[in-house]
Amino acid sequence: MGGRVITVTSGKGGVGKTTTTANLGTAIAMLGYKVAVVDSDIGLRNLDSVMGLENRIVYDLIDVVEGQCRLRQALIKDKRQPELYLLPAAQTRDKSALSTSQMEQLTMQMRQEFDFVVIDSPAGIEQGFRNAIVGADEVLIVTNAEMSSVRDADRIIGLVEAAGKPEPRLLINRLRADMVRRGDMMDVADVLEVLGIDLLGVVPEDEFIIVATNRGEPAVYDRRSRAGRAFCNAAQRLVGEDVPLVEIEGPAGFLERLRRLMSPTPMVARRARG
Amino acid sequence: MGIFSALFSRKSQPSSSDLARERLKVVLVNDRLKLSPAVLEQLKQELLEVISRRLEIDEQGVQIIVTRSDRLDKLIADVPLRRPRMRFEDSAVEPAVKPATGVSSTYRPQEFIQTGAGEAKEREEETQQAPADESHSPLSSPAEKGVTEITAGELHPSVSSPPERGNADMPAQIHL
Repeated sequence: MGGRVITVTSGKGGVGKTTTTANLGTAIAMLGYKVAVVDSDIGLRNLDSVMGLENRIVYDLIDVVEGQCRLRQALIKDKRQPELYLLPAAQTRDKSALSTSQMEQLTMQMRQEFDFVVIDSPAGIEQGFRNAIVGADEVLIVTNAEMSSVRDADRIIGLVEAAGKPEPRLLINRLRADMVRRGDMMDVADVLEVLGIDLLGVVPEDEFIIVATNRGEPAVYDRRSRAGRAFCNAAQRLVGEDVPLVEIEGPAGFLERLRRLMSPTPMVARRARG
Repeated sequence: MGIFSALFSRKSQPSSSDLARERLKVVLVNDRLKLSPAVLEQLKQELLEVISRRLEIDEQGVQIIVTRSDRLDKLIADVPLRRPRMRFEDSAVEPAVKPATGVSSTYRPQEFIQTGAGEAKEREEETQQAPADESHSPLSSPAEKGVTEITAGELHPSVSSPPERGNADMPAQIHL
């Protein structure tokens, strides 16, 4: 059967699907697995630049499904992780260039080559979304703790279930502890109560995400980044490790930072494959 | 200042995150079931109509909501019922208070005759002997007025007080 295909989707745009895909993919690769991240947002590709690989693209996903190149030729090797690859989206085509059966075939093929295939879905509920989930073994829904994205997430959950997929898991992104404390942002329990699916992780709002994207290096490489650490924890849960949910706190105080620096466990324990 | 305003404003009004959560629940019901607030209101009226054919409903307390747990949507109707009370030993105490509230228009003791003419009559005589009952209008005499159609709530002498106080027992509820 091969590896697991995980699709990252959200319905609403701008909640952090691409950031999540890049960080989870990188973190899983850091755990020692062979990983491919796939940009299925045809015409609006971004995963390549978040990963810092935009200058290396020769072929893309559409070239592969149309048979103009082999899968191996289109895959771009990551700069830092030896077992991490990117399959970029086509930038000059649109979503109608891809059919669900082509996408299903592609994921079947990639499953043979990788332990994990993480697919970045486009926003929306149309063809691009259907293509992104058709080959998925599991779906991860990214939402922010605000009305529009939770509402869209609920719609997506219904569509994922209607497509015969197992119940998706939830990643709450960009949570602001200070606003939750003031009562101006729904907390994790509120969102879970409304959506009623299992939680994979909670990622705090973190300026460093912009910095990381500026550099083209996912935040999981920097242990000072709180979002990066949260993505690492989510990645560990994805591969089946039991990592407790850390309570999302405000900006860490001096003692807390010191404690973290001295913590004997490395941020992501590298481990053997399998 | 920040702490104080936060502490006090929190109590007086729901936080914006509470509002978001509650608004989301409502909007998601519409999204999922294509059930608009207008249709829900109509459903509520129809349900109440059916139930009230058999039972006396306290319409103030009716709550019909659609909610979900474990991704299963369900309709929950919370319908408090008025319970006709015929405990004369209770009501015998109350007339002493009754006239003081000046409710002779709704207070119609003759209606007790319906259920137990003898007992009610006895009670009437008792109350008329009570000193406070002197202000009672002659209308309250059972002989002067025919028995009229009444509701359970009117049966109870304390109907003029708020229902939640008047129905001393916990309201009966129907869960659909």
